[in-house]
Amino acid sequence: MRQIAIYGKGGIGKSTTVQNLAAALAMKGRQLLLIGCDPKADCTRLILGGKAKNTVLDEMRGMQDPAKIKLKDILHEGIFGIQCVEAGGPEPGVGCAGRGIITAINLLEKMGAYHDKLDYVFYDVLGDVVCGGFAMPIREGKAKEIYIVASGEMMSLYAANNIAKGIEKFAVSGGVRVGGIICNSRNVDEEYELVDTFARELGTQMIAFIPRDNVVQYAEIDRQTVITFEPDSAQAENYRQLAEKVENNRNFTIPTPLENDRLEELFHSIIVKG
Amino acid sequence: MNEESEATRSLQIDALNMCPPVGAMYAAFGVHGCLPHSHGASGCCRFQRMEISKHFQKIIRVTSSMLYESAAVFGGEENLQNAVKNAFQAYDPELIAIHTTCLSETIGDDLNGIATQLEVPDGKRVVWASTPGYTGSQLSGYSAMTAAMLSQLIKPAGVRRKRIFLVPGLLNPVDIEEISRYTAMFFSEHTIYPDVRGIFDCKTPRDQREYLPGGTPLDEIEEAAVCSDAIAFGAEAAFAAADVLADFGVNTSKRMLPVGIEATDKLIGDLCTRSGTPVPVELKTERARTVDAVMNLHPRLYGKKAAIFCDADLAVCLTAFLAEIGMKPVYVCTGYAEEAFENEINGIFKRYHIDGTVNRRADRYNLERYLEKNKVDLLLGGTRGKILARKFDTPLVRVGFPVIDRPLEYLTPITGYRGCLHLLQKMLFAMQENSERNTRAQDLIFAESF
Repeated sequence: MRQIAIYGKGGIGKSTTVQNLAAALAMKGRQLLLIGCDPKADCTRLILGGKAKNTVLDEMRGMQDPAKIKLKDILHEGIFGIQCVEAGGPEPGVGCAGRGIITAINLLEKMGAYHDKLDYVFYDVLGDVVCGGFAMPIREGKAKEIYIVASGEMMSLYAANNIAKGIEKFAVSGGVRVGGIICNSRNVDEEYELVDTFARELGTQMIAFIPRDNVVQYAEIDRQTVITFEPDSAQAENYRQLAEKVENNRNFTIPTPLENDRLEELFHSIIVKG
Repeated sequence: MNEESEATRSLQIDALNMCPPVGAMYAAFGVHGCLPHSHGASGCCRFQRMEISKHFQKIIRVTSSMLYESAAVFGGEENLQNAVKNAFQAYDPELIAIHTTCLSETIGDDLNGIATQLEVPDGKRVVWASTPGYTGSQLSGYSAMTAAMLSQLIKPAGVRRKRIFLVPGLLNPVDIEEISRYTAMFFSEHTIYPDVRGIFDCKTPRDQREYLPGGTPLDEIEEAAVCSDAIAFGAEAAFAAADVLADFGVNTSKRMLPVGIEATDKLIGDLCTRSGTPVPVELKTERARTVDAVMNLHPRLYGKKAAIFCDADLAVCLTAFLAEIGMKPVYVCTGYAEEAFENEINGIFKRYHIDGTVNRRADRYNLERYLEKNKVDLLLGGTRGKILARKFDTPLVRVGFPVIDRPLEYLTPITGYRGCLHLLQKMLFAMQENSERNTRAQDLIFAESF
């Protein structure tokens, strides 16, 4: 069982990428568990064809003994037999969403959601790793593999670099490694070269470059992955190739985050001069 | 001299201070018919409650929001709403004083908003104070709760009248009584807030809906702004409430606790000026008796070195008292205090030519390290210093809060002139007992001539 966590700046397209990747892997016959670690609980919408009805924390709300929660009430099956769970969380502005992630993942472990038949567990984690709770998927020997979704936009790489700083800490003390940067293109200038150079300076690779394509938008409106919405499209093929690369990836490293000055220099040298 | 913090040490060994909610609870008990409520997990409330319980050897009632895991995730609002509703039904208090805890502060419960949405029966009140356990000491919590209750209850004054409002720091009921006794000699009307007399020194009623007669009456707190005068005692515990009073136009002064001869003199001077009443003969007699005792005992106390470890407000006045009677308080430490504390202590050192050391972020390990290198004749502090007292064969005088191994110790005053006498006696007895224990039976003497 490979446990994989996906991080990246908010709004960069993590959930879309993960769900298309998951669909592509599941189509190949892999058994998957997809865990949404975002209080908005919208990480499994395309797999389930709509928002998950029950999150782990919905079930726990008001319950004094969380041990009474049943796995079947929070585990939802989507396309190609993909198992989906949403951690859920409090209303915006109250409580502690980070603690929610910790609680939800602990509960899932206790309930036996991680079984031997699974090939992959994916954690789709809220964009900005604002506190320790959002690092839960890579703590205590859970996900050992991380992919960062980024684009060529400055703030996106800035966030990716920050995430790498966080990962570095856990990588040194635990076994977590970065598997690569997935570039979800925003069609900005010199994007390929920028993200590719950034990835190499970070001590990793740009594992895939997903071009911008409107079919993604149409598929999302239809609550579907591109894989199911337009299986013959070029974009569906891009996701299938991403799935191949992830499956065969052997390049796992401890990230070497860039100094802020170096990051800014990178933009100057590639975009301004280029 | 300020003791350098040990930069290499990243842990506290046997902390000297308690967490703010302990102080917040203590202050809330000083209001008549008030039920302290801990907005946090149950274990947290239990520790704080037990510290007060052990000091006074009595049962006390404090309610808790009992925040479970789900409250840590979703916020504690629902728990607090239910808790307050239940507490009014089950305990029927006039006032519920909510204090926050580490958990509720970290998850960021918006008490300001939540408190306005609570279901409060007609004529009853709810107030709240922010007291995260990880900043400050018990005095910070006492201060936060005292200022919060006052600012949330006080009403603007119409007419002001000759009346004095006193805000004592964290003291035993018997010391509040001393302050009250002095004040009554100068002012015909006074309020002490918080007032733990008739609370901690009385048996808790069996019926949970019954409240002890003590504590500051709510209407006196609401009408605090009609007072012409106010005095707050203790920088860490009471000055925040003094600022509230000053904002309402009350002529307020900030003093150290009236422990020691000079501190008491100054309080009496203040009361005398404010009231225009001359100092009664009775007080002059008390003072004379105290000064006489100091003179008589001088040969036995002069130059004796002492280490003081207690809360910041008490440490300041104990240092001053020891210095003024000719002793040498060479090491003064507290678990947490603001920078002003160091300045106060260093000022006393300078005035009395004492080559002393002060540490405002100390733990018991700092004290131990000091004692390993420096011999002192006496330790002044709480119960938990007894192990060091044994290790260094140094007599310990138990002062402050909490003293949990000497029942009824809380009945001995330390404030005012009488308090001076008690402190003198305690210090002398401790040193005598220690030296007698180390003397062969045939060498024991029955009385020293003087």
